Amino acid sequence: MNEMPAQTDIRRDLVGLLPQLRRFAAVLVRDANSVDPLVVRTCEAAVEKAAQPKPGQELLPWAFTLMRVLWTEETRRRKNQAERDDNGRRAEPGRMSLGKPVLDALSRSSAPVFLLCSVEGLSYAQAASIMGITPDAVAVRMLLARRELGAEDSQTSERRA
Amino acid sequence: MDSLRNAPLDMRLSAFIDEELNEAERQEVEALLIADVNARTLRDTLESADRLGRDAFDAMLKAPVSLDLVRSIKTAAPPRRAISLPEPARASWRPQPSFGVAMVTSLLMFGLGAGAGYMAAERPNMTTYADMAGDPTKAWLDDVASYYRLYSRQSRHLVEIPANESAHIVEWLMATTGVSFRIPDLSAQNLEFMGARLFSAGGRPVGQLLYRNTEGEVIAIAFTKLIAPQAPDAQMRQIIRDDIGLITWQGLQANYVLTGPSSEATLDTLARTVAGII
Repeated sequence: MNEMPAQTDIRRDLVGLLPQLRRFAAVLVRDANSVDPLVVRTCEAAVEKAAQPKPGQELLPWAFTLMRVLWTEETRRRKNQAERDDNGRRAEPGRMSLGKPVLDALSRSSAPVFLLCSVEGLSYAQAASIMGITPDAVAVRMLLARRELGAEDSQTSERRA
Repeated sequence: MDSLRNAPLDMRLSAFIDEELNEAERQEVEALLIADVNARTLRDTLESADRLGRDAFDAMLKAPVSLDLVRSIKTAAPPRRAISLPEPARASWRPQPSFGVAMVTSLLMFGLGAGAGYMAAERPNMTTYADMAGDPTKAWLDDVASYYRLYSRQSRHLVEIPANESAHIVEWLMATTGVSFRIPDLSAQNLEFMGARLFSAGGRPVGQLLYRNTEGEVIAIAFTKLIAPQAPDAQMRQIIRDDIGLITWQGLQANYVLTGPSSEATLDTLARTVAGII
């Protein structure tokens, strides 16, 4: 995985990571129209903060962390705004499609953890750092994700039969 | 992570698949998998779910990335750094005019103001030649961008004089533009010098050196004799015109502009290199 590049190279390196950044953004936001704006904000923040790299830090997990923090802040802001607008009567966004029934089976809490650990190959400790949770919570969400995917697999097999 | 020894079997198996158990726990689970058929079945179910999810996520990577997204990231502005230049010490003289001097100065300023007001009132729609000509810097940049858009799409007719006639290029462009220059060797930046052109931009003769990178994109360096004589301004400015990026700066005797695709993230770095050579 790429280590944190020099200031002049980070934009190019971020472009190389765009497919993975867009995939993580899709899992977080679950709204096709919000994916690219979140990716752009993340990359702008990464370019802005690239002058203070920690030695040996890898670019992709660092960018994932930035994106998760940005998304958490935005979610909090939207929630506060909604509460101000109509006294909190507006419902929280539910499950929105990731474009594939298999992935739609994953809950909002388990999907990003599964992506980080099982797909991106990060450790529980790294995933915990990115998501701002404990490694134990990562272990629980990984099991939850596998159960959700297993249930979807069973339902698909039953429908085919 | 805390020990999972007392956790449910499926959680231990899930962590086992992810290689997150410590050595003692791992050996314990391996022994269980050998002895217990139900444990093996459960592990297989979890692994099957894992594959299903991974395959679906892998397919997401094939979604095309829009060019606008790439461009917006390649052109994201890096943080500005404040540079404080040494300034000459200012004299600490403070005027202390007498009453008479203050009165005379006030009357003089009043007279000048009234005169200017009268002139403006008499000819409110007066247009100067400078107004008619417009901003000369903008005019030449507009033309440089237009020529770049035209020539960068040429394959056989990219240049007028090819790179193998470097000596002639220098002599010819120095004579026509009045700017002395060197042809920068940018092979370390993976740019091949293709040759040169002469054209007119903003009514001025402009010399242009053209390079091609490994992706076939054209990078051009244009220069013209100083447009507005003033103190050299080494500060570079980046301008984006749709798909074209321009980096401009001013030297002692000429104005320069480096032109390339706006998606090229290193134009500013390249311009600094060129400014140090040319």
